[in-house]
Amino acid sequence: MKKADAVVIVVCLMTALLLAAGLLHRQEKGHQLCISYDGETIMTVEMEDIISGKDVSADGGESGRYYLITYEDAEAVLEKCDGRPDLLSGVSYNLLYVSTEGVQMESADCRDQICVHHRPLTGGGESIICLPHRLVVELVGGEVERTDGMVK
Amino acid sequence: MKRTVELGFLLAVALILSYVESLIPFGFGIPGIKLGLPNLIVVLLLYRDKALSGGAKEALLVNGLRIVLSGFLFGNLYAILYGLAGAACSFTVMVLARRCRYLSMVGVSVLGGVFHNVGQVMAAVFVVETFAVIYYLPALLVAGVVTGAVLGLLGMELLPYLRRFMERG
Repeated sequence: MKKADAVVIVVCLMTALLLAAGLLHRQEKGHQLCISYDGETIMTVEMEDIISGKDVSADGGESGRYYLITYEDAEAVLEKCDGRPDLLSGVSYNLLYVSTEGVQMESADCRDQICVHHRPLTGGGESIICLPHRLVVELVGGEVERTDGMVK
Repeated sequence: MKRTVELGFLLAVALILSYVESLIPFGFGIPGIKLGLPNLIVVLLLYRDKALSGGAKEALLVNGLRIVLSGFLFGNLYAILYGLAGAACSFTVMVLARRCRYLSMVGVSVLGGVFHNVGQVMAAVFVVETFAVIYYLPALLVAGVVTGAVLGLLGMELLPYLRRFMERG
């Protein structure tokens, strides 16, 4: 065992420590909510900002926020609401509810209702897709959950 | 002929160490952490010649064969893939480190252990196609240092016996 060996060991341990600190710092940023219509992104927002009230304030005392997407003339309009919005009849829509529990489709007037029955999104890489309305709601970033593809 | 016998003998020992390693549960739930026992043979081969640049070819041969054989015997195709990626990385670094006269077997073995894990994580990033695997790297680095140091110390004790054994034939 020589002096240089000790230097190598210390350098390796320091690298591991710095790397761990850097990764932990990055991890705090978490997920982004990404909503797109017909392949085009109409909104991207940090989940943190929604829950902490930076994106939509919650005056109504509700714990979650609503995002109403309405469709007119092949265009999607997004509206941020601090309470459950009133729905106009005759306008097709998707109503998204975001809380600490996750992201879920509260209601929609699409014909199959698959998006409404989808379980809430919690992890990165998950998505709810409303095919009739060509709407994709996605959680991106953060740690991606995967159960396959790893070996010991 | 004598050399062939010698390398065959060391390959057999390396395979046994691979087997022993696959039996010992050591990983703390983190994929990729291994004792690295077969690396002992590689380090010993690198140090068998007293010359700084000696033993690289033999070590490469034994290590490559060991990974493919032990992969088919005790693991699966992915074990071979990850093993080869880790070994390629670690072997290159160890051969270079061996040439540095300031390092002893402990330093070389520690570098080997650390870079084996770096290589494996790189391979995993490509296979799983996500950078999330990087989160394992700090733990893998520490594990590499610890196992590398222990194996290096062990190797230093064993080296005189190996040299004597090989000279006697």
